[in-house]
Amino acid sequence: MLKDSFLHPVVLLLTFAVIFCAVSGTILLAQSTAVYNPIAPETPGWFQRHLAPAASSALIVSVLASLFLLFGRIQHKPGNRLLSFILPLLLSVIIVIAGFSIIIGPPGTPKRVSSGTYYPFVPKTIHSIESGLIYVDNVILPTAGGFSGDGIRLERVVRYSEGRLEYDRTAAAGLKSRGDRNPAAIIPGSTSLSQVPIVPENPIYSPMFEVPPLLRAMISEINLLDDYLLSLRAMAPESFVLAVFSISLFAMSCVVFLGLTAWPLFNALITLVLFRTIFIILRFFDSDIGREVSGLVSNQRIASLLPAFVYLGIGLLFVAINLLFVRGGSHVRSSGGGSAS
Amino acid sequence: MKRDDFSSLRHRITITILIAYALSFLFFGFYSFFTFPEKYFLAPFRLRWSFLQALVYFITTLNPVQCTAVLLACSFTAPPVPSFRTSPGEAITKLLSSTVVVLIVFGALAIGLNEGLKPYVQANITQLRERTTVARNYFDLAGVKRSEGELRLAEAYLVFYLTMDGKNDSALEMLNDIRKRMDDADITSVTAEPRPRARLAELDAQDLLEKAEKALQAEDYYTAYYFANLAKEISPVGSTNYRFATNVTAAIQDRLSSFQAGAREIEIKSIFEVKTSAYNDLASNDVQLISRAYYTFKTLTERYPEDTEARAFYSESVAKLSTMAYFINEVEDLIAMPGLTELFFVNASSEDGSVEIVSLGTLINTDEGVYAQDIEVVSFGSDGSLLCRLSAETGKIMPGPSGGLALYMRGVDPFSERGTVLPIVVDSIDDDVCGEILPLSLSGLDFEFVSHSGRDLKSYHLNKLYNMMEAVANRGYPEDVIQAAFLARISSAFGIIILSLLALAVGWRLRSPTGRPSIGGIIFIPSFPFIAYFIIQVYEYLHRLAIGAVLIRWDYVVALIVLVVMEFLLLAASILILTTQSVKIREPG
Repeated sequence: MLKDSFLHPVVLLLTFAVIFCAVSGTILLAQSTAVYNPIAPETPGWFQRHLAPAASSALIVSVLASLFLLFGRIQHKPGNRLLSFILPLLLSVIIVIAGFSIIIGPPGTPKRVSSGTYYPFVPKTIHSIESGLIYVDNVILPTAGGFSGDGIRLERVVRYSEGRLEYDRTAAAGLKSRGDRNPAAIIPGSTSLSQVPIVPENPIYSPMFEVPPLLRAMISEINLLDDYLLSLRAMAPESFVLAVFSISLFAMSCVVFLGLTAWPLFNALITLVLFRTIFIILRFFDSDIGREVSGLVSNQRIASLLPAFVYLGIGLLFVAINLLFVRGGSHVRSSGGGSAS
Repeated sequence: MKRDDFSSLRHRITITILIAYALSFLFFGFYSFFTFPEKYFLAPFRLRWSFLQALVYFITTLNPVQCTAVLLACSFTAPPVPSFRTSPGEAITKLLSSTVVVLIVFGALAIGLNEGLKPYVQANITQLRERTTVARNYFDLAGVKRSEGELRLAEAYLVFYLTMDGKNDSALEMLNDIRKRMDDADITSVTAEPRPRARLAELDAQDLLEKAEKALQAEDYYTAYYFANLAKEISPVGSTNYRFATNVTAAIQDRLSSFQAGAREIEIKSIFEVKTSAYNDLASNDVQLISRAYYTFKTLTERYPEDTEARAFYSESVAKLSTMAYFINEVEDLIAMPGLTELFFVNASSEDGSVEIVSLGTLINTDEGVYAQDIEVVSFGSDGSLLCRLSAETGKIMPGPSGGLALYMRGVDPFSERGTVLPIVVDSIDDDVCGEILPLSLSGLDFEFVSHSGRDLKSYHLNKLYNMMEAVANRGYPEDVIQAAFLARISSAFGIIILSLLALAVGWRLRSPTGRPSIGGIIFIPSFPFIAYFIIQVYEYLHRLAIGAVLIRWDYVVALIVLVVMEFLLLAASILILTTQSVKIREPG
């Protein structure tokens, strides 16, 4: 019994390691393919520069996913009820706090990569951008072309937009840092032509790597949570610790729902929906109404901790339900080992 | 477990999948019916469109629906009864073998529907949309013709429209109005409206006199006589042109009659001379000369209908001209025809670096031929200098002079030489660089690939997508994108089986001990396909990412190998996960 409780953190750590590596690797792969250009030279140190931000983005979601998967084991081998709850909770808090410290560095260090450029065109190719199609006959990179400048030179550009052809003998495309908010643009050689924003930012392979809308929405929510924690960390480390603890408590307390009904699949689904609530709550506070609600609190620091208080409150409520209404021992009476996930 | 339990599970999965399929189709049927886009389709197409669109939705969501069905079927499997003769390992192997076949069969069905039926259904939907476009354009044309007083034509357009939308009140109302007007009006005058093909050649006296003068200067008196005589005939008596033409013919007659016969003989001789000249024009390969011959023979056949020789040469000139230009009356109703839109491609590129880029606004395939509208061409040399830039309103695609296809941009007005339409040369390095015939390097199918609709890679059959890989590479489009789409299609075929196996494992692992869902759980069952859909989207994206990364960095063959290895590993992993499932009993909670 007790052995199972002590094994839970080990399993959590291992699960986290696997998920964390997989998610970080996927983020890195997605980022590298998003800027890949076969004619452009590999930027030295690209991997080192992008590893930390990718790992940072992967951290919190990996911890949450590991906790969700651990529930299956907790249900299967509950061990000591209190220890099985507290140990994974503390470990997840430690992972997040230590993880951010190791990956990002001291509080206040910016997470995002601001340096690094990419080249959005390849020669003799038709590229599909938001405003139409664009053929570029030749691309001269600053390094290969031997000229200095902050853009690439395009030769013989033919643009097809709204049923009309536009020919530009020479044009330039600004080199673009990924952190910049505004899209890069094609600067025409002729004054009679207008600038053309390059959207998507890397039109060469964008149709291949288009992120499904649902996943894109989820990624933005994960980034929101990530940014929230990092902003708290930069503002006040104790607030950051409180927020991490609240989120972990909320997630861990969802274990109570694994015994909600006699149908494990439904229980798992409900738990998943509750995990999703973590992001929905934060999105609410990021909305106009949420900001108005936060604005009612005069103390800026407390206002920024409102989402954390909500997590904490709901988490404590679930813990109370667990203690008061769920019988001691395992969540599911097992006979002969059980079969829950 | 008893053999019956496995058999029962197999049946349960089969029935659940079939029920899920039926429910899914019904849902999409209703959804399509109530979201019918009247903007793009005629009202009578509602049922047909709803059925076809429901099929598309149904086939697109087969994977999540099937996974949900498997998940639920396993989740509600009654607790297995342990058998003394069967070990847990054997039991799970039996479970696997009994259900995997079902999953493979349904997986194969899904792949077949996706690759076989779906593109066909989508093509049918496109056809309905095109028919709507044609019908509505004819309806609009009917309105225009009614206001222009061409009632017979307006009636014909409306009758055509009503063959597709027979209960359209406004069309019926307009038709009644047209027929009433036709009854009221003098029928003969209406029928006497000049039809395009019945029109005579539109001759211009001034033009003819200029030709006569030119012939006079060249001392070609018979030709000069022919044109001057023709100008005299079409000019109003007493007009300047009439007087001038009379003077010219009289002068020629005076000059020639001094040593030859009378006016009639001169006329016959002049016709002979003109015919000979036109015949020489016709025998050449110059489109301008052939065009000149066409107008000459057309005039001759109208003026001398008894002249069989002129008629024969006229037919020959029409036939020959049709291979080198298009007649503008052929394209009058093109606006009503749907076709491919926004074609943009590299037409030709040579090793010396010169490139030719072509854009076509629309490409319309009719019974009379293939026509392009809103044509623009840009070509430049290796040094970036513009060789030619031209645009043309319309062109006809026909076999080119040097094999392959070519775009002929000269439009011949069948009635007036002045109505000839030529491409507009915007800029050119040399007069000879921009021609009115543009040789095309595309074959018939390639046009679709470089069009707006063709760039939607999801709409292709797998084999068409495969053929497209090479076709687009030479047209300026990145080959990698098509290859990635092809590989993604292969991967999704594996995906449906892998994900069904994983759903089987998850469903089995999280099965209800009672074999029934909880009351609250029933409410949430409809959300399962949406969750499955999301998971499948993520799964497919990760596949595209992994395969795409290999493809762009290495090679298509390497990517294909990686894909096959990856799919087999995933298949093995899903089977392994399934085999590790427990068959032990869990008590009802």
